[in-house]
Amino acid sequence: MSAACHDNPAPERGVATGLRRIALIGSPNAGKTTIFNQLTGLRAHTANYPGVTVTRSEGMAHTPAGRVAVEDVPGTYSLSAMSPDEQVVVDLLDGTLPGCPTPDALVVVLDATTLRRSLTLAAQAMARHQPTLVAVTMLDEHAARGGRLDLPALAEALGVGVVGVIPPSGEGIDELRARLDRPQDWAEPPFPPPADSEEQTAWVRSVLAAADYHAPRPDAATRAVDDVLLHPLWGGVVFVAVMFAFFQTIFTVAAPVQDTLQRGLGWLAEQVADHVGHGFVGAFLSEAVIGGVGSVLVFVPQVALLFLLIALLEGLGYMARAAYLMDRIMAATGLDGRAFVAMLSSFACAVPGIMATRTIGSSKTRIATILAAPLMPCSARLPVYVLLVGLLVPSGTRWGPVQAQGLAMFALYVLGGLSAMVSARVLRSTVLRGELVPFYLEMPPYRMPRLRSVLLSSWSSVRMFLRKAGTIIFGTAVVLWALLAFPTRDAETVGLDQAHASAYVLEHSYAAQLGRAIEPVFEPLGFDWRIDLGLVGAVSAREVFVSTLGQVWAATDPEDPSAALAEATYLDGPRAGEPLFSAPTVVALLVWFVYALQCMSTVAVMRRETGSWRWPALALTYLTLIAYAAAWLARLITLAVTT
Amino acid sequence: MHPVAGPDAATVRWVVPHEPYAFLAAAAGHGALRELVADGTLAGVEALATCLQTRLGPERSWAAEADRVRAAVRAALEAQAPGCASGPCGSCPRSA
Repeated sequence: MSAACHDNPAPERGVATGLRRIALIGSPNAGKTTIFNQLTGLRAHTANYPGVTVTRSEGMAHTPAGRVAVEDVPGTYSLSAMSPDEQVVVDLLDGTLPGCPTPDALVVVLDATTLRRSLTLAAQAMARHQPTLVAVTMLDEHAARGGRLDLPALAEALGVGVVGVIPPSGEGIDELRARLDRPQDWAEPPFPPPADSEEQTAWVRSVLAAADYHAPRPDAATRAVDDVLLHPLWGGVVFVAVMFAFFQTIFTVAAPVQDTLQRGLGWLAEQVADHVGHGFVGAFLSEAVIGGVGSVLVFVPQVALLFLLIALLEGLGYMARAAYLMDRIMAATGLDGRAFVAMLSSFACAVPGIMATRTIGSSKTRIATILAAPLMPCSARLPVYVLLVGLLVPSGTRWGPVQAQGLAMFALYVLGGLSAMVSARVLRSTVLRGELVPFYLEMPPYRMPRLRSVLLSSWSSVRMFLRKAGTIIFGTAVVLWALLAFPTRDAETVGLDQAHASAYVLEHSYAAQLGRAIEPVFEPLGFDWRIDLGLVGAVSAREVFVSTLGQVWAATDPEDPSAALAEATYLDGPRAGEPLFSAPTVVALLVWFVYALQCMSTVAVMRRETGSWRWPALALTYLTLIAYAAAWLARLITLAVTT
Repeated sequence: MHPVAGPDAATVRWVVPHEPYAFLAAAAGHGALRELVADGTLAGVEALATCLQTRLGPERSWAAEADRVRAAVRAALEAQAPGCASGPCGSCPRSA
């Protein structure tokens, strides 16, 4: 595993040269990344639980005298690394992070509410003989809970400069920014704090006494809520209820917006037909752009709502509780609560989920989590699930207050989660057998998330989804359109009406030839060559399955592709004329997508994080085999139940 | 205890979170500190109102001598007010 500077391709994360470099270090959840965002104007992900930042980020801070490069690194409780994310901090300070020079100065971010513990890290940082400044955060929360702290006295006791900062409101940021200009002028202690742990404890106690530090009262509201949310029984009940409400909300709230977008696309297709016609350009616009990319974009409301709800839960501090609750269950799988945090991150996307495993110290636990993480239902599966659930469960079906489509979606997410745990159990009992390292996770107090942070976090994720639609999905749609449209069959379609001509071209296209070549492989699952094309396309990204079906049926019936999709039948073979998207086939498809590792970005990040092709190859193999076997079994069971 | 800079680079004050401070005078004369003065590591030790002040001897540097001085100051304080230079102290009004 490496954590080199070029790990992340985002342009703002490169290495600035010729500028003074200042690193922000501090305990997890101390507010480093919020300070980083305030100083640089960037939007690195923040949330109210420890371990959100797992990689190094860099940005430019404009100071009164010019610019400095600011580096945000993962949170750490000490400079004796216990996990890969903490090793990034140590490597950066040692100058051994490939391509990253040692920072010129350190800003140690300390949470006022946990100052006693955080000062140990400050002592270790000060022992590195680099200009050091302390930024104390959470002062408002500290004071509100009856805490006391004299900042000038703290500065005198530490022997270094101290700035009070309240990152969400930006208070103190200007003072901090101004001080970044001249680290060479920062105050220095006469000599570093002691390294011996007993003497260090004495030093911390003495500094706190000199600074008139009084720890805050425990947060009464947090304690009261945690009595329920961390209760072995009620906590579990609330967790299931929260997840259930999560998916009900996604379906109930997003559906009207999705319908409006769908109608908008229909209107757009009509405009293309009326004003551009059915020629080459018209076909490209209606099939590749509207039918392909458009069919994925209609799911933006669901995806946006998913990210919004995740950001809300993260901001509130519920994710840490969920990890704590799940620790006992995770222990049965050979993983711990920290692995669950990584798996929860995979709800949005497996890539950050796999990167979040950097907080796990044990390499075997970490690799088992990496191999299981792709089973967690990610946002790329959402459009596929919504499309297929829509074909399986009629819209508007309810059992009392429960929306049936939302319930089906919840079941798919539960299946994915359970499968991830079973998979981890098997891996930890076989190829990755080993002792379970004790789990610790600091419970942050509940905090009301700031609307701006929640919206920015959601928008950042939605923007990535849109970028994917504009690049990978559009690129695949263009290739598929060419395969569907060629060779042209002008001579053979003379005299046929538009619908029959389109169907004839489609059935004799290069795409059809490709689909039919692999049709025997998936025939036992009930998939015909058109579905197989979607599966092939989805190897690049799962959403491509939706765009492929959109294109194929836009080519079949440009006037009303949605209806054509719902009414599709097998074109030939023993099932000719039977409904294609019957319950057994749709269930098999859903199960296929629960298990199949159809995401090249995930494979690439697995390779990077494990430092070998061995583990991604294992994941690709076992998940494909399970996907095939489970889909076949699901089809058989559904056939038995429905006939 | 923790060190803070004194009025000049050679002087360091050892602040003690313990009241009353009457014991500081006796601590300044503790054998461990007297030894450091005798061998030239320290030029002098003085009890101030709330701290012990140590002044470095000529040709000495804090980088080289800090650990020895710290150990001697700690021994001196522990001898007069056990538990207050290190570890928990339940009786000290200024202990955080």
